Order: sequence, then C-alpha cells, then structure tokens
Amino acid sequence: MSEFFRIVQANPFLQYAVLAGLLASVAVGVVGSYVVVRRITYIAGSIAHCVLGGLGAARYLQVAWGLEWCEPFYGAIVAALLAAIVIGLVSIRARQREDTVIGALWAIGMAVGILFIHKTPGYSSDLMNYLFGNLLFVSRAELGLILGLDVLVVGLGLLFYKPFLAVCFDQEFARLRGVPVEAFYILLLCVTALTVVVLVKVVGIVLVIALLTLPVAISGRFMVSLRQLMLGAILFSATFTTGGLALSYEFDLPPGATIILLSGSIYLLSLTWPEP
Amino acid sequence: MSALPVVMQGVSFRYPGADRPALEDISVEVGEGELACVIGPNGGGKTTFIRLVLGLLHPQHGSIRVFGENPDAVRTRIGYLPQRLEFDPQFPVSVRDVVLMGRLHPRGLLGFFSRRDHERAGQALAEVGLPDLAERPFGSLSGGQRQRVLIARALACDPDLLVLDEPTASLDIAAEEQIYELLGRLNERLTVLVVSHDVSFVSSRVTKAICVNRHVHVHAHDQLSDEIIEGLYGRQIRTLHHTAADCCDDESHCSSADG
Repeated sequence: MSEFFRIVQANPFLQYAVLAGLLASVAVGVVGSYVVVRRITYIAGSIAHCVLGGLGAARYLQVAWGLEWCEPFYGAIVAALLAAIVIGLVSIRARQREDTVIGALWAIGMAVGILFIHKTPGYSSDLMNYLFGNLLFVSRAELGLILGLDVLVVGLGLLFYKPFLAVCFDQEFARLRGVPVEAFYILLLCVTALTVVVLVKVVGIVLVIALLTLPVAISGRFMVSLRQLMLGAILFSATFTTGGLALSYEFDLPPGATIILLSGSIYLLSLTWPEP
Repeated sequence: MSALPVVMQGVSFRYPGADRPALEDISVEVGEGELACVIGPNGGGKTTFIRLVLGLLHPQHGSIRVFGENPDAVRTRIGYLPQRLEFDPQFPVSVRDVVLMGRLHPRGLLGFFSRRDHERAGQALAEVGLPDLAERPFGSLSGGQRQRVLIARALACDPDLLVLDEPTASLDIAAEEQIYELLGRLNERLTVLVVSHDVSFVSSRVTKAICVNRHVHVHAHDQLSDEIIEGLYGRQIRTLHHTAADCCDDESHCSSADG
C-alpha cells in the first residue's frame, strides 16, 4: 500500500484517479444513504440506464444534424432528469404500478440509446466509455464536475435534512406536518439522477450502482442515525475506491471491477459480524 | 369562543370506483376536551372517518369543520398517530429523531432542528414515560415502546387535537393498558379522538362513542355508563347493537367489533 502511494505521488494519472474516487465518495455516501433507506436502488438503476438513451440521442443530433453544442453529456442530464420526474410522478400517482414503469423505462432508455448509436454515422465507441467509464482516464475538468456535484449534494443535504428524512421515514406524517412531500421526493430523485449522470461519466454505470449501495449497506450495520450512515458510507466508499485502485494497479486488473469486488466482498464479510 | 374541534354535517364519502359510499350522511360533533372513541367493524369506515378529519380525503357531500376551518388549513394543529407505520426496522433513526419529526413545520423546513425543538421533543418523550430512550435506535424498541414514541411525536407537534388510529392494535394487554392510561392522562389537557376495537376501553374513560359502519351512530357518555359498563364483554356489544340498530348491518359484523 505504501508503495502504491509513492507511485501515486509520481504519477498524475493515478493522482486524478484517487482524487476522483475520494470526491465521488462524498456524493455517493450522501445520495446512496437516501437511495438505500428509501429503497429506491432500482430507481437509480433505471435512471442510470436511461442515460444511455440521452447520450445516444444527443450524439446523433451532434453528428447527423451538425448541432455542435449538443454534447452527449447534456443529453444524459436531460434523459436522467426526465426519467427521475416520470418515475417520481408515477410513484406518487399510481403506487401499485411503480415497479413496472421503472423496469419499462430501464429497457426503453437503453433501447433508444442503441438505436441512435446505430443510426449515428461513424464509430461510437466513446459512448461505451460513457457507460463503463474509466477512473484512470479522469480529466481535470471532470474532477471539477464531481466537486461541483459534491457541493450541490452536500448543500441540499444540509439545507433539507429535516424534510428529506421525514419523507423517507414516514411520508404520510410528513404530509400532515405541511411538508410538500411530492416536491421533496422528486427533488430527491433529481439529485439522484444528477449524481448518476456525473458519476457514470467518470466511473461507469455498474460502479455507480455499486458505490451507491454497498458502502451504505455496510455502514448501516453499525450506524443508528441518517447522519452517521452518510459519514460511514463516505468513509467506506473512500476506502474502497482507493484500496481498489491500489489492488488493480498492483495486480494489473480493471479498476472499476476491482473496486466493486472489494466492496462486495467486504459487504458479505460485514454480514457475518454480529449486530452492535 | 373557540370553534369545536370537529364538526361534520351530512358528510358522504365514496372511494373512486367503489359501488357504494364508504361513509354516508354522517353528522358528528367532538367538543373541546372530549375523549371520543371511534368504534365499528373492520371495513366499516373508521379509518376513512379519521382521514376525512385530517383532510387527507375530501367528502363529495356535506361539510367538515376542524376548529371551525377547512381541515387542510388546520392540519398542523392535529397530532396524529397512524394505524400502521410501514416501517423498516433497519431504518437508521434514533428515538429522538422520530420525535423531532413532530416539530416539522411548513415555515421551518430548512437547516436543522433548534434547541427549542429538542427541548419540546424531550418533554414529549418524558410525557409518554420514555425519557431515557432518546438515543436508542427506533428499530430496537418493543411494539408498545414504539407506539409511545409515535405518540410522543404527535405530542411534539403541540397539538390542540390528538388523533390516534388503533393505537393498541398488535400490542399485548400490558402495553395496551399503558397506552390507554396515557391517553386518559393526555385527555386532561387535550381533546382526543381515538379509533379502537376495545369496547372495554370505550366504556371506562370515553365521553363519546362514535360507532361507524357506513352510517354513524353517536353514543353519549351517560348512555354508555348506564347501559354498558356493568355488562359483560359480549353483552356490551349486544347492548351497542340494540341501542344503535343502524350501527351494524348484521350480527357477525358487529361481533367483530371487539376483535
């Protein structure tokens, strides 16, 4: 491990990768805590896959129609927010069919993306990079983007700590206390969507889902309040991303998969520890 | 003079798609300081009745006034205990956090709870007899303790009216007795509207029994004490049946009232 840090010092690529993992840990720790306690992991997965539709559509407009400003990343943001709002409205209006809509959006989002990729002239392998990301190729601009996401997520988390907790714990009671429950639920989904979009660009879909859930699940074994859960999840996530990078460097493995397997094995191990 | 806590006049409510109303032409008053108990068979409309008072449902006919106003407008003056909290025992929340949620107010959603909020939450926990559990995880409590914490949450609202939907469902007899004793004590300073299956509770402390089975029949306190108190459990129910022929549609429904 100490050798890894010596190498990191000498290597700006690895510095960016470690920094990206640490910065991402803040956002996933906070948002992941809400996602897990509100039991909307599946929603985060659906939003993450809708991102592909947005990426593909924006890329198509950029190449086929010559709209230079239409970056795939913007398409991803629009698609993710749209998916969040649709799922939010459906789950408020028609509770019993929520999972169907989530599953449908999941599949439709991906299918739309693949159609557009097929129709876009030229080779679109960079879209696949969006999907599966690579921590080792993080740019300075992307670090700035994750930092911006952290500011937004932590800011909203502090500002709206009370209503977010109430909406997650007991929606009906929150409504009776005059909390605009629907608005906060949709805001929560939109923040989740933005987190997913930004982090998908950096670390890829699968790692986003893993980081949103596994550190929180481990933290939840030991923490009794939402605040502690978030702090614990941030620490676990920071440990896993850094440790995973070190392992992947040491044994020449893909970093994303290594981080997931490290988190996953420690999660399974944590299940065998007795409850505190 | 302040308006009555609850006044319903000719209220009917039908759920969308239902072939008959859940509640039909009901008129009820709950006065200041009363301990009113809502009883009736399962599916008779007790929870619908409560949700109308809370303004969570709106009647198609008739008028509902809570403290003389539209229920939506005075919601925050009501402390509410839901029938069943869909609760994940692993939800990371301390007893204090749960009670503090009673301090939520539409004009104070930003930031964290104030020192005053924490004080009020502490007082509410003391009032339900659980001052030492504040830091415990809510999920680690017994059923009776959880109910008392949720009553503390309702009290932390500084309510003028306490509404409780089946506070003793799924509790053992000792825990149930504690809850009813607590309600009796709270009634010394608050108007209480409680849904209960427990007819013995109805007879002992209640000022008014509201028997709900699509229609509503109200029994006043003295009626109850004359006809019900000495009666045995089964006879009590029959007594209610006799005095309120329209309360229960048939015998089998009616006997489920004590379930």
